Amino acid sequence: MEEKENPEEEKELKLEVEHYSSFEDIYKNITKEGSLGVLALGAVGLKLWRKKRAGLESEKNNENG
Amino acid sequence: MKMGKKTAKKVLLIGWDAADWKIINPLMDKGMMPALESMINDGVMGNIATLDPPLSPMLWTSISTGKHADQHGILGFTEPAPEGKGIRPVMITSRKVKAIWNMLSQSGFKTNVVGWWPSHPAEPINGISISNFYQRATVEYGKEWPIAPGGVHPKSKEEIFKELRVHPAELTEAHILPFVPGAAKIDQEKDKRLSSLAKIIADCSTIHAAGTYILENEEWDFTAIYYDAIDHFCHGFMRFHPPQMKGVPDEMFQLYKGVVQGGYIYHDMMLSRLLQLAGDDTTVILMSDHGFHSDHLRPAGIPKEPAGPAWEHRNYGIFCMKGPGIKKDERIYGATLLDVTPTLLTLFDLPIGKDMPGKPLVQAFEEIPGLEYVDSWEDVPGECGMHPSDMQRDPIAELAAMQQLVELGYIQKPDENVAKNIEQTVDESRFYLARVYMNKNEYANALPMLEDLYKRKGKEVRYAFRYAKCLAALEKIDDSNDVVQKIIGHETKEYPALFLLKGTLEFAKGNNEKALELLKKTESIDSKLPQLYQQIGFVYLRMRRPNDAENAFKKALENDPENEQVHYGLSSTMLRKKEYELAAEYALNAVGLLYHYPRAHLNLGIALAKLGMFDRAVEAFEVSLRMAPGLIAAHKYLSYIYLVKLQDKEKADLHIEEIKKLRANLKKVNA
Repeated sequence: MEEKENPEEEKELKLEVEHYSSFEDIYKNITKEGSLGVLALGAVGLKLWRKKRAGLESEKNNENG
Repeated sequence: MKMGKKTAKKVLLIGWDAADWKIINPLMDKGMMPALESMINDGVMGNIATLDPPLSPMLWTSISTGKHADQHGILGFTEPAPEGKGIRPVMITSRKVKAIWNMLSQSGFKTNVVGWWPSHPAEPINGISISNFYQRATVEYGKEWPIAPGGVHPKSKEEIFKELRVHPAELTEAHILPFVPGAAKIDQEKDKRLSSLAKIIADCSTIHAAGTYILENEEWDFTAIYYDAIDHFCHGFMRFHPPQMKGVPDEMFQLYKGVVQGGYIYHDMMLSRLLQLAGDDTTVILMSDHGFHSDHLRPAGIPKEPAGPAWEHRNYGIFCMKGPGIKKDERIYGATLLDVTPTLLTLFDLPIGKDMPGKPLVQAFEEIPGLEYVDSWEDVPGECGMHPSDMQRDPIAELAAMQQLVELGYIQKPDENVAKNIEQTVDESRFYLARVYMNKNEYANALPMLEDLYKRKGKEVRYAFRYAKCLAALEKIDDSNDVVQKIIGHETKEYPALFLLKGTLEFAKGNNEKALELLKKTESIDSKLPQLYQQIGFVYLRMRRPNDAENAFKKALENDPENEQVHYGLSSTMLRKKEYELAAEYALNAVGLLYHYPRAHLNLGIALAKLGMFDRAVEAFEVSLRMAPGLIAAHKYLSYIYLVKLQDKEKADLHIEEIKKLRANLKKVNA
């Protein structure tokens, strides 16, 4: 196998651990799309994301009439 | 036998399939894997040697049982389905011996296992068992997605775990873009890689959710969680990993170059949560079953054969352990997959089976623990949570799991002809079993299987090649040569590995010049072939040309610095050059990479003896003899050291007696 030189500088990925002081804090900051940081929190993160997503969808539905 | 008293408070075993220090180290240097870095600072780390064949279901079962595959019975990715109905993914019901969670269950410990490969159907252990069929999405997103029957034990917990699964279609761009920032440019009709990526992320997030739920909400003494995603990220995207490989278009490289790195970083994020939930009083082990080539050793192509992707696997995986009583910030050497179960049993103060070929990694402990043994855990009575023989099946989940194996390239798309599929599966299992025997140096056991495969399917180069190697190992050099000659005869392609083997055979016959000629021919076809320069080095060594040998071995080392045979070759070269400190250093490198290497311990002993370090030399010789009692050279050195240097005539006489016995045996064999 041969390799080519890669002149382009490596770009860092936008993968970050979520740092929150409490689960309320996570819930407040979580977005509808979720994030890898929230999934990395495991069961708690997954449940909070789904709860927030459902809440946001329900709000939107209410707004739409 | 002690039962139920433990020194470790709790143990968490985390499996990262295919994780490799070669990728992790640069990421840690950049601060991109802080959780693993903190774990290493608080504990021990090192390489862990894999087994052959390096196929994950076989390896993870060796890890969990402490036994080779001929003992545990898991022989590949697939197996014939009951009643001759075709083939199916390998099931836990084919495992013939107890796994660590069975031993711990029957010793009264609360034990959980998540996603182990294979673990379907989930075993009825004293705790929670989540099978490797649990995470696979079998239906479209939004439709009723039932748990595969046997996916969760106990059944009463099914509803909890059902809700913890992430469907690939549930993911959003927030989950995909960190891996592939240019995802929007991809025509997903033509390029299905994003869909594969989503499956990998969803599957490992599901396993992680189940694992973290257990750690947080259930009582436990031992929990094992297996993540297969790094292996899948690597098989799918390693060819796009920097530096750019020749043949990879710029556009594809730019799109996918961050996926493998992203996979590791995501695992570090998950590890951070696991360590937080485990707490400081838990012993945590993180390990992989093999490594994965990520540099110039990446193969240019994958052979189109069953288990072909395993060519990308590297011989050394990762091992690290931290917790109460474990040394801090130290490196350990010589670990193998077979050492994990004995180490876990030691952590729980339970006896090690004498039928387990591995050893507990006592070098990792601050105080050397007392070790106890039983003949075999198979004879220890009690409810261990293994399955009864009659077991339920789930054809839909089996189909989904099969599909994933096909997508990864581990198995070919099943043929419509059922009988042909079954025959192919059985042949593959027998081929893998033969390789297991060869890996154990039990060539006589491997030979009949390879002979049968060669007679029926001799045109398949991999069967013929292993058969030739096995014959050579049994010193049937002419027969081996015939097989190689036939392959060269009917193959239109010039396989450098065949010329290498032919050169090795000439070397075995003592034809050094002819061997060198063939090896030089191999070099002209493919100078990067693994084992080429090391073989040239050994030829030069026997031709008493140590400087040429040194040059050849050093070329081999440039190609792969973690090849234990090359370090061994260099230690032999340095002994020949009377450079004993270097000889000791290279021998130590060899045993550091692969502890079970009797000839390297022998070289170490010789070098230490020449340096006048007789006590340490005796230790090295004794180790070599424990591994290979027939090493006459070790007995010779020991008899001399005991008689002349240590004035212990009694011990010297014991070794002289052994030499006489071994020589008499050799005479008999030769006669």
